[in-house]
Amino acid sequence: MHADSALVAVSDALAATVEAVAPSVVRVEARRRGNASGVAWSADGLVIASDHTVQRDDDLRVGLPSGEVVPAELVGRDPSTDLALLRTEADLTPPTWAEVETVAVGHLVLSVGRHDAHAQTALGVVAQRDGAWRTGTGGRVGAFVQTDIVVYPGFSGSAIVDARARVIGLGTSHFGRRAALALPAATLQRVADMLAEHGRVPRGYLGVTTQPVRLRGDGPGAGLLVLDVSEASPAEAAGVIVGDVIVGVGGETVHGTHDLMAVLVEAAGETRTLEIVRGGARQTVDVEVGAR
Amino acid sequence: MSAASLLTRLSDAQAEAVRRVRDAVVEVSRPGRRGGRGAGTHLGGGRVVTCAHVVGSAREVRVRTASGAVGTACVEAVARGDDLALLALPPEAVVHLPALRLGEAPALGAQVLAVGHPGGSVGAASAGVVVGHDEAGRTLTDAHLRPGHSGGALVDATGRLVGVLATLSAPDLGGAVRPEAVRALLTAAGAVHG
Repeated sequence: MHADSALVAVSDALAATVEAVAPSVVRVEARRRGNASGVAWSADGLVIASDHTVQRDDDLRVGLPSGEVVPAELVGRDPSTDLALLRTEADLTPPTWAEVETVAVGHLVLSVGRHDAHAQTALGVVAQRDGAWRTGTGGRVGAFVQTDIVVYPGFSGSAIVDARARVIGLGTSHFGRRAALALPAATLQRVADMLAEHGRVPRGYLGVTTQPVRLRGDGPGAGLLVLDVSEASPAEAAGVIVGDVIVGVGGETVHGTHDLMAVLVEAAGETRTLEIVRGGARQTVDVEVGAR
Repeated sequence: MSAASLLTRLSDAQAEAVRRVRDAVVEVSRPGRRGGRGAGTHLGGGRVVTCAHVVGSAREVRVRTASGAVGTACVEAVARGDDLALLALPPEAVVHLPALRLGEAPALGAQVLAVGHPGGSVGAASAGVVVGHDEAGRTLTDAHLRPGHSGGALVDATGRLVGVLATLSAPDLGGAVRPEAVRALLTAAGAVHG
């Protein structure tokens, strides 16, 4: 292929990719200053967007690719993963999603957003990829995907698209200055399912107040001393008492309160085995983790 | 070739190019409380080019390769005016360490890839074009550079090293030291150690 025609072909292919995805990208009007983007989640009207751009619960509107503006209601939000699910009465065109495992560092990506009447795009590459991570507020994200795409106004909630015009994730600028992250499709699926069912992501809890302590002798070395057990809590029902030291939950070692939150956060409604030290002896109790 | 498959091939080629570059880019840290951190590029034979401001006045620095091997490298030569330094890795660190070949200064508008360790993010990639040159003769690119990219590799479409990432001239405008200066440093070091 001639060099000139290769450049034209690449340029045309980029434009065609944006054109292929733009019908799935909507405008989200849910904050005072500046609109943001969202992606069609279901053909019957669900839209996935960035939680931090949905600043109110009522009077939400979604701008469709056709130019029509329709009212929307908030199905639910999960600030810990910066995701919100909206419902409209519109017929939408969901994109083709792809697992984030199909892209490597250096692969081309486009963001396709819509913060005013028209779609807008920016070109970049996958800058960094890593495994599962937790956000500062405890949200679990299946993979770390950073792009070098410039964060333009309304970037959050945009579709992050690969060279095959498949959406690998939802763009967000919420988790770091200028860091254009893609929240992977599998995480969107998990959170959207919970939001559709519960309106929120239920967080597991035990109902104990604890303090990290060191333990002498052989064994775990550290744990969480139970200072208080709430009345009618899952911990009380399981027989946990003040003075117990929690050293493990469901096979995971617990050294600090962050460890405990991490193992409980998605265990709501499930039974977990607590490993505790009581009076110097290790024992286990089963607890049904509460949801709130 | 269809337009879509062209884009896919381009994307795959870029990911493959980045993979090769990442394998040749090491982490460089100098000891001490005020130690600098950055990147360096292996040019073969255990010689790693980085920025003078990354090594500071240190005579030895710590180097970590993409495969996780850690070693101490001595600072072989420094060209403060060009903000370049040349490191010599111990032979055992070089055995499986890929190298990049030095290319020529890229033309205006040419596609380039930048690989470094911005904000501790090891082997992060960014792509851009050559925007121009600054008064110091550095190549300017719109690839997104951040602190930690210093000493990292700017490569062209053939995967050759065409710049050593050195400065942030403006937000989203990075400067890279041109390959002629790297060649001059290699020659100077060769003359000393020849």
